[in-house]
Amino acid sequence: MPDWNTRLEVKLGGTTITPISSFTPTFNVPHTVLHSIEADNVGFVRQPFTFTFVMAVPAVATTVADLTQLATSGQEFAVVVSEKKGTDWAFNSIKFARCVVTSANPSNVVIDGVPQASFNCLSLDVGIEA
Amino acid sequence: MAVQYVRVQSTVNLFAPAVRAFGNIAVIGKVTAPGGGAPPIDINVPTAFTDATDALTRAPGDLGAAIALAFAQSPGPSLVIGVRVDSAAPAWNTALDLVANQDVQLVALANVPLNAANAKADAPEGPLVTLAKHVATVSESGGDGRQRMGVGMLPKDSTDLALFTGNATLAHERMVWIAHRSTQDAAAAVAGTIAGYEPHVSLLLKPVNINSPSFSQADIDRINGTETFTSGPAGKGVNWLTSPSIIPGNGVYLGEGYTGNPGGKKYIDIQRKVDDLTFRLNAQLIRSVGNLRISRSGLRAVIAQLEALLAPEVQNDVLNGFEVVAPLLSLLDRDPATLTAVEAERIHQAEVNRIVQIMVAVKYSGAIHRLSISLKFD
Repeated sequence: MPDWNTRLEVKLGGTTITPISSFTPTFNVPHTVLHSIEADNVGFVRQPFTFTFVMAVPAVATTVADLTQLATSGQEFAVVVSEKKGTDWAFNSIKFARCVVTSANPSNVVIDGVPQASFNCLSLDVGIEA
Repeated sequence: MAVQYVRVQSTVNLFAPAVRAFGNIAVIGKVTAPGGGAPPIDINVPTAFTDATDALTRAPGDLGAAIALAFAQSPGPSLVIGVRVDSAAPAWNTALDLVANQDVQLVALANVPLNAANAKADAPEGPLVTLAKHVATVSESGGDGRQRMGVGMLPKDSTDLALFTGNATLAHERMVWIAHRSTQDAAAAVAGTIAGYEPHVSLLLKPVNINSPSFSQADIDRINGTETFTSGPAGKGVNWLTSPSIIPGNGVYLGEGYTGNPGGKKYIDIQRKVDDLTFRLNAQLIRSVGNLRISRSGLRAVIAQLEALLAPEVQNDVLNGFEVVAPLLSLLDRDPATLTAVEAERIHQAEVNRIVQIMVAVKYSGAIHRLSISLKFD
């Protein structure tokens, strides 16, 4: 059924990141085409895969401070996106293990609205539960 | 008091990650007090040694020789804890109780071979029986990270396994037994060798720095049992020191990497890796307990913590794979309206009792111990 009434939840280690405005994972899986003398496009060359994700978090969440500290100390962490309620999402969960922050924008200062923080992270190990 | 304009009170709160050493040794033994010079270490006081000279000076006799031999291994231990027992009436039990609280993974008794007196089962029990009971008990109930193995030796030149065979206390998977032909303390040397390697490394043909002539083939057959072309290692739970002629030089090597129990965890690396994984799973999950909720996202966070620990092991080729199953999760994932009464009750019980069962299966592939090559000439 093409409904959407599922709520997802993002957890940093054991704590829920709330509020969180967006979470965008990117799986970069490059392949280049292999050509031969007698024919083009005979195969692929697999290149190294990288897994990254970007989180936009309003800077009222306490986890913003945790993430900023993880970023400055370069420590590893784990992030899980999973269904909190409902079953409409195509996945049950996406797990990112052994993550580090590659770029952090801990908080902008604005005249209206909530200060926003954004974190670019990369992960060494991704688990997809479908 | 002088006026202090700037006052500093320092509070040290250094962070240390939970790590478990894999090669700390405890050696218990007698000390022969020298005529002059500095008095040796006190009886029943665990003393940390980090080099051989120190051990020979402060604990001369069996204990110092054993510790020095453990340090002589390359790679070897970085820390050996020595406990002195009384020379006339050694209280091995008391000394082992002191070692129970130490962060050690291997325990050996200095110069105590497996003879009838040392393997006596009824009171007063022999020291090697006490050692075997100690490693089994402390590993079970001694607290986090206290899992350990004991190392014992047969008498010099002995290949007689009569005291050992069928004795469930001595033939335990937490004991390592070594047959040797050396005048030195082979148990301490082997403990030092084991300590030098990471837990997943098989101890087969690892060098032991000791003087020990080779056993004859008939002797090794008595210790190990008979093997055929297609069979794996036979083994009766006792290792031996060997000098294979196909390895150039005159080195002495461990003939096998057996634990004392051929029917259980047969190889030393299995037991050590299990201990290592157990501790690290504990350390990884200790923060989750008490924080994470019994919910879909909570359980998935637990599983993510487990995978974060096990995935690097797969990458390092220590594990071939692993599987994590939380039966409760599949029930929580379903629409609550579709649950049967039994299933709803299971969720309810988990919530009320606050216990979640997770099954972790790891596929551990050991090192090659035998190669059978069919060489065909056409």
